[in-house]
Amino acid sequence: MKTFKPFALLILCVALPFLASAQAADSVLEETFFSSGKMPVVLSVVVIILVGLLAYVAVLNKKVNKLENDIKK
Amino acid sequence: MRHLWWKVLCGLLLAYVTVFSFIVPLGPGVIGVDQTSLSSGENTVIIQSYNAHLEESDLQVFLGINDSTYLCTEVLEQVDNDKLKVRFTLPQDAPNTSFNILMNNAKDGTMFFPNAFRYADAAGTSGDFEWSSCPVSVVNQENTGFSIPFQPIIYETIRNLMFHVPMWFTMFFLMGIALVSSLRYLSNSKTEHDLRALAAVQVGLVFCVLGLITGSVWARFTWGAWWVNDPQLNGALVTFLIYVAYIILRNSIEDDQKRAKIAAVFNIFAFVILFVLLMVLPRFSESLHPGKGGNPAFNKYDLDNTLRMVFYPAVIGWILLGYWIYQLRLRLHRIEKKFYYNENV
Repeated sequence: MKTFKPFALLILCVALPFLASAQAADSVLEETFFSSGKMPVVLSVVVIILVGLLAYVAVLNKKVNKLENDIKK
Repeated sequence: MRHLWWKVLCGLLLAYVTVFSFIVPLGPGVIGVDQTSLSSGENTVIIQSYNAHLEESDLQVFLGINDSTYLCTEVLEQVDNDKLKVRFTLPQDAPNTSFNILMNNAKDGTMFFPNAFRYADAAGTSGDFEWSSCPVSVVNQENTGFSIPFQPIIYETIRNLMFHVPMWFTMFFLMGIALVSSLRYLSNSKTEHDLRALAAVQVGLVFCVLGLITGSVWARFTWGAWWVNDPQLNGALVTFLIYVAYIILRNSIEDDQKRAKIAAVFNIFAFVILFVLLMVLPRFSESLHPGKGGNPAFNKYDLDNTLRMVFYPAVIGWILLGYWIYQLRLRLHRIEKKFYYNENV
């Protein structure tokens, strides 16, 4: 179960864009992202990758913490 | 210290890639017009450009009808930094057709905007109509500035090439490590190789998810939908699910030896399916995704020399980062194995 938890989270992340498409705020979204030659799209892609990798580092960090505690005991 | 060099290389490459992907300007291009249908007689339209030098005195604008016929236009004024007002006259008995815009100056080269206008008039004749063609001396002139190529609809998002695409290269690389490790496990039954396969799949899945999400965002603002029913996209999603199934399969088997063996066999099949779904099938069907179907991606027009200078380092940099994270994950697995099961690997 322990290893499964992050994966449930990852699946949720994949599902999020589908949920977002149902919202009516599409025109606001397009106005924002189409400005300055669609540059915000690139920025959000970079931010998604950074956040994703940082989240994975956080997961690893947690595992190391647990292992350290267990070894101390 | 001996093993540090490639981590330093990874950091330098990714720093170079990030800086370059953001400071190299996008080449000039036309992004739109204020009206799409034309009438016979005199038309005045406003053309919206991007990063173009409209103030250049040698600027010329043509309407392209086909590869050899061009109509002359008169440049009236530059409305603002990106907008240009032009005037041209269509003959009364012109046939129904669509027009491309070609803008040209020595600095920007030729900017092409396909199917900008259409002329549809019931009275229009069809067949061989003689247009009063304009003598055009320069077509397909190269942009002289150092820039990323401008493409319709894509615009600045072509920079995602350095971020979205290497995610998949990295995933492929890590899944490749997993395949080799699984094969080696089946031949020598060493726990080490089972752990390697597991770590590679776990980190590979992270890159797979990042590839899916970034691709989805990119698709939303270029194709208009978060997800389209496309062989390449569905193949990527199925790949993701198969590797999630690998993790779930592992967790569902209690016995260590049995788990490792079954997982290794599953992993080999998973890689074969990954290869077929992502590399083979999309090439046999129509696809929106570049590089697939009738949609040639990285030809000379898409991936020019400026992009290559950043794209290849980007791929190497991201793969090194993926390998680095994989090694951390693997070392953690080894210590866990040693501590919880007292098993040396």
